[in-house]
Amino acid sequence: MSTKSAAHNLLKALAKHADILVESYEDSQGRLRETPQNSKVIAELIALRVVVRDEATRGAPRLASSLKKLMDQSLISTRLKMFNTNIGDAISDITFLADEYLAAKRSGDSSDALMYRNNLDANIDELCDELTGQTEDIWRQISTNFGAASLLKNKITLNKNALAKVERIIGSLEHIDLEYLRSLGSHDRELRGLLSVRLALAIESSRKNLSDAIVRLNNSMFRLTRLAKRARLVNCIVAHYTKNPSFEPEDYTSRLDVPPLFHIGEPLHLTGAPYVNNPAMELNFTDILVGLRNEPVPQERQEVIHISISDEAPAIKLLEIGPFKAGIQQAFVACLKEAAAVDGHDAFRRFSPAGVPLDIWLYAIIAEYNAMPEAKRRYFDLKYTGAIHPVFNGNFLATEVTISPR
Amino acid sequence: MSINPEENLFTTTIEKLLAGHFICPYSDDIAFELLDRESYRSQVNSYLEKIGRTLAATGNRGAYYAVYTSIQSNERRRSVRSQFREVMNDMEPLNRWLKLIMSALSRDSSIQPGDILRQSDLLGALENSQPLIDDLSLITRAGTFQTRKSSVTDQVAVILEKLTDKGYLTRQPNGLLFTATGKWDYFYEVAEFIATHEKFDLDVPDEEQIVMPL
Repeated sequence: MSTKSAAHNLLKALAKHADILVESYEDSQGRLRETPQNSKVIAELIALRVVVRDEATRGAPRLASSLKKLMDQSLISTRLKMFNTNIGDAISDITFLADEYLAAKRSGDSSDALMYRNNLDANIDELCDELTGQTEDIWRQISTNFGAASLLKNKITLNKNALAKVERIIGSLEHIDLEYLRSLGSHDRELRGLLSVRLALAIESSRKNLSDAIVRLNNSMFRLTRLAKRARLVNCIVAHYTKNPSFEPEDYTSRLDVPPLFHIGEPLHLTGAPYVNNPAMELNFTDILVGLRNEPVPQERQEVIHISISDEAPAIKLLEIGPFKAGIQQAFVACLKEAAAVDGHDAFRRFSPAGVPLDIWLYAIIAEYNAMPEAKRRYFDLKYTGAIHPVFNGNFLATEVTISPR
Repeated sequence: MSINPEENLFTTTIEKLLAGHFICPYSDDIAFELLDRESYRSQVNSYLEKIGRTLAATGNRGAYYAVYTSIQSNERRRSVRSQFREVMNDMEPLNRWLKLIMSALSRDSSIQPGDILRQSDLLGALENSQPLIDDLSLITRAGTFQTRKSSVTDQVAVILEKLTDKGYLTRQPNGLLFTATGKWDYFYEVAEFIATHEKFDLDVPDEEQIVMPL
């Protein structure tokens, strides 16, 4: 069977058994559930080397790491991958193949030269992909904030591990003798394309990306460490207050040199004329308007009247009646004495003190009558004439009032 | 007369700083962005210096605030003392609250600027755990978060309201989400200062994660 046909068969088998493979991929350990129904399928997948039997788990089938890696890469998984690429070995292999390729070419063995060149091509591809894959994996961890871990301490551990890994890879890249690789390809165009262009670019790009990653990882490390430190600080302060409920720190503001941290003064309550055209104040004004009330503010300052609580009888103070009220009352007394009706104008002339307007006098007579206790009022009748106000028709304008005995 | 928008921003920034606000990306992103510029900072500083104040920033430059340039007069000393006492009075209840949040939400990091607090998440977590409800009652019994309200919902609402008033949280427009501000950075700096200078035992073992019942 040709390679082409075998590759077709492999891909067809993967498509045919996609469900079982995906189920296995989603399992945390990559296991396949083997049942009598699917044993034939599993055997087929094992023959294709995409599933292997794990001796450590009594031969239980699981996904082959190569397929898992392929799926991780295609699905941009956040799964943590612990590659242990020996870049040094890969470079040694590349150098060896390049040397052999040149030797075969020099000796005119074109078939071997072609084989070495193809292998060299594949090895360089593999190394470039590996470097790119590892760089992408590091960046994926950074961008997901080490999403594979939920606990802070685990994130810190992963961050440390990623930093160490990046430093290790950069260290390995530093040891690659690019000058030597360039010299190997200096007299061969194809080799120059592979070693001086593709490989050199991949190394340079990885180095740059990894250097950027170091900056991000250091920042992330600083942030995670600060988070852990603050959480520890909170626990420590709560523990201290629980153990020492009456604890009070020193008054650091009474020191001669107050620590700069405590140079904050009391907030200034800014007062001033509001500038209503300032749009920045709109929210403040809205708050004020929402807070306005329709009813008047209750009087909060109430005057206190002291009441005597002694046994002595309080001195009774009689209120004296003023000349205006005395005049009004005289009008009613005159009506009874004379047993005749007394009109308002007549009473105004006889009893009103000087300076009182006539209309006030007339309304005062009406008010006095309305305010009388029923026992007194039953002796009098009160009639008044007048007209309703032309504009404010709720008002009655009295022009004459007549008091008459009942 | 129309008002210059830049003048507006400058005015409100200065007023906020003088009113004791911490300007961070979560409390006022526009003012923060401006203060991040050296030229704008020097303009603000030159204004503040005329009235004896200067611009300060938290260690990670996550928030800006105003401080006195010097504490020479008795009046200023009284002012900083009053502010210091307020922060110290808040120290225990705020730390207890932070610890409560960590336990309730099964987090191993305390609140940080930019964190979103969902009132509903918090209530959901608290209602299923009597020890946490007891802790909440302890926090609201006296001090900064004191309230006579007895229900968990009311107590949480009071605490969130107080933290918003004090500038540690900003309420999002829907009213149920709160964002932690850069003032927490200042709070942690003060807490660290106190813990270091008062020689607290900083080797408290990390607590195990509390797993909330389903």
